[in-house]
Amino acid sequence: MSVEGIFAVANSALTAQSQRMTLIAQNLANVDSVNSPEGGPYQRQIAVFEAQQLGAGAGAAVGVKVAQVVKDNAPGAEIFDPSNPFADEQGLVKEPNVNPVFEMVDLMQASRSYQANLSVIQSANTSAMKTLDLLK
Amino acid sequence: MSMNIITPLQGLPSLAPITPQPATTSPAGGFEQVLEQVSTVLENADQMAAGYAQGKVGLTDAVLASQTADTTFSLAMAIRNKALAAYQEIMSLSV
Repeated sequence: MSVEGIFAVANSALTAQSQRMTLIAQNLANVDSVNSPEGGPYQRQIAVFEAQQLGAGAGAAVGVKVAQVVKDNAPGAEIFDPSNPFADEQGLVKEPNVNPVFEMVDLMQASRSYQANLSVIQSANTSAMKTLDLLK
Repeated sequence: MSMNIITPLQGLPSLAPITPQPATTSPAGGFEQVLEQVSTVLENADQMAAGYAQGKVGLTDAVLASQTADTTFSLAMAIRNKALAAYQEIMSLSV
């Protein structure tokens, strides 16, 4: 496979992982959002990855993409806060189902995966340059 | 003492006049086409960088396009240096 093919595969992974990191940032930012545009508390969003063929043909390289973004339907905690405008009759407010600890672990995974793919690119690049050095 | 005139055994063959033939390949051996393709790759990297500045292209796409352009250009320069070295070696042959 050519260096460009390696670049394309690793690039798809970099793009997918940065989309995942965007979602993690979104979840962490909304850890206290008791309301959302759709109504109700913010729901944690998760990226679902899927293998995708880059280019046509049977021998085409297989990269990765974010197939869809799903919402975590697990219920969040309910806290008693009657002063909150989004509290119900009993003074309970539904909190988002975001757990910062989970998000940080997910962030570490996404970050490590991103770095791994960067290493692939770096290695492919070094190999290409060393090959070009043969001509000198 | 008499001398015989040396008579030629046979006449010289008549030489066909040399007519110049047009070159079938370009003087640079098709290197212009390579350069044009390299130029296309460089332009693509340029557009990607501009696209990133405008927020249309992702960072990784722009960086990888730039890296590909760098590798491609290095390859073109290496080939050019190789060809030039070969030419200079031929030119320095003592005749």
